[in-house]
Amino acid sequence: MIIVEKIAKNFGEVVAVQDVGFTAEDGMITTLLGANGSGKSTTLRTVAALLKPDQGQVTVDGICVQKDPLKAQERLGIFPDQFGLYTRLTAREHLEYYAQIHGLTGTALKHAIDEVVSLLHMEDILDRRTEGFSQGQRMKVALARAIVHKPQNIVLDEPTRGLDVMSIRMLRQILLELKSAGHCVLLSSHVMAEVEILSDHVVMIAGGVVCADGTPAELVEAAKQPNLEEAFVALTSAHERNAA
Amino acid sequence: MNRLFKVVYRKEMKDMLRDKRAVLAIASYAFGVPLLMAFVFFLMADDKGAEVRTSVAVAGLEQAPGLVAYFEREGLEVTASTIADEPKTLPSSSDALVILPEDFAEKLEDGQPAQVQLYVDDRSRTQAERGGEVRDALNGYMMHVASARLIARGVPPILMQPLAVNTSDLAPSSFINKMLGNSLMLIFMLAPFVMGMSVALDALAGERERQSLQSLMAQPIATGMLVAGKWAMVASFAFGGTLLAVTVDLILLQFVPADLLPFKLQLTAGGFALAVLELAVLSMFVASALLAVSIHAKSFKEGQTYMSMLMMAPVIVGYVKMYGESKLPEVANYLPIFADVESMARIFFDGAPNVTVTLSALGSSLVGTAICLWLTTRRLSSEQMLSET
Repeated sequence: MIIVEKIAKNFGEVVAVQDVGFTAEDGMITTLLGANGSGKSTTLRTVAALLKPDQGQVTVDGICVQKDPLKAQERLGIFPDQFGLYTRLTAREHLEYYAQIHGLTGTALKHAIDEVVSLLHMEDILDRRTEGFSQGQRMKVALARAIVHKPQNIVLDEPTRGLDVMSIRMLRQILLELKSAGHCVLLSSHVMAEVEILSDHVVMIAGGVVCADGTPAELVEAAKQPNLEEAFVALTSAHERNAA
Repeated sequence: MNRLFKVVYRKEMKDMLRDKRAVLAIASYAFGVPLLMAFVFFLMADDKGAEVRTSVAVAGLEQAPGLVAYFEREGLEVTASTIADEPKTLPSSSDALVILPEDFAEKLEDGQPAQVQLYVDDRSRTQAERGGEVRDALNGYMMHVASARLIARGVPPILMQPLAVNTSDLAPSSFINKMLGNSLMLIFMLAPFVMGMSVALDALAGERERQSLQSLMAQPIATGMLVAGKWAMVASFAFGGTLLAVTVDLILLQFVPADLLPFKLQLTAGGFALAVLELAVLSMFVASALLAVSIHAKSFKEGQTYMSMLMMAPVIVGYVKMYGESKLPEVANYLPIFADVESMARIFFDGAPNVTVTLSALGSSLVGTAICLWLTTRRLSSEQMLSET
């Protein structure tokens, strides 16, 4: 479970996040929904211990990220907005590297790789160098790398960006399987259809502030709109008017 | 802690050994520089072999049969020349030109000084030596004639030599020996920079360019450990490549005739072991400096610009050491590379290390390594790194 408590983060004069707080429960998919520059990525980077908040705190399974970042990172699987693969390494070598950093060795390491390869159907690309991989194949390696150590909490920053329909469908299926297995899945997105299909819990962010929080149905009802997209526009516009 | 260091080191080595740029950099320096050296030695070698006699052209030799006889007794080959004015070059296949005035014989007979003009060409070491031989022969003839005159007047020639001067050079190496020797040391000092540059760039600037840094930094591994693993990889490349380059150079030098070498190697087995240790420590320092530069570049291309500026440092140090050593402050002997050039030169050319200089080379490199690694870790830990990515 990930708890974000009233975090704020500035970069010099730029206010990235003013007041963001929410809870991402185990066995649920929680989505941060917001426009570009709303503070989603900054929030996720704070959860991943890549940034230190100026105010507030984040806990992962009860571990304070700011006080013990390495311990918190052991319980996280991070799927960044850029896949960032090593082109001279094979998919298997990527998985080995990340699994070894998480302390897996020997038989445990082999089993972990076999399991994630089977889950993501990566047998055909496992021993190929990642140079020249398609976007879908790159996504598989990045996702496998993030979950090979079986983290309880999985954080994905705009995971469907740049993917084709088949890859998106596969990713969606895997996220639902992770959720069913009791993992806490926290992702960011601005694709309404994806959010509506996947999310159990949506956190709407605008201007670095949480402007609405609930299930997709609750948000649609609260905004008195026909769908989530209209609800998002209505709720974020209302927030911006109030802020002004 | 040790486990994570090994994990990062193994991954980095595997990745970089597959990098054609890195392997090519090592091969080209290790084998290309010796080839360049061989070419330079080829140029330094004159067409004439050592057994060919020094040739002197004499204009007006019909007036000086005594001088010609003296030259020939000294082993010089004398040819006649018709040049009377100031020449632009030496006559073909001559090592020196002596122009005697028209009144040479007359002046000699009258006991007056005759104005003799000697032309030499010092553009190569061998030609300079041959010109020197002719100069010495002229001086010898002068003393010979002066002695004969004194004897004819009943004066013992020994009276003309109130002092018998013996000169001993206390310099550990002659200037030319030292300068050319330092050039060889500079080639050795540059090696870790060339060997480590590509992999250092890939290890940090490349990590930022391919945007893998964010994912890596989100793993449970301390930044210092990450830097240590990458540093060990760069140091391995720098040291391995340098050792290969030095070994190839030393093997090549064994095949060069000793009289063609501008310096004399006096390397002992113990000295070689000490030189290897010093190169290992220097490689550690260079690896840390390369990483400290690489961390500031957002891309490989940007990093190459910074690296080309960094590469100037050892070259400048080398030239300052060669040409301005006497003006350097004492503190220079305690700086990395400065101390290394001096220490390695002593090991290679004097046959015995200067303990103080060698210790300061090792110490300054270790201190420099610690500072550069601290700076790199600090920079990698900063949030600015990710916001710039």
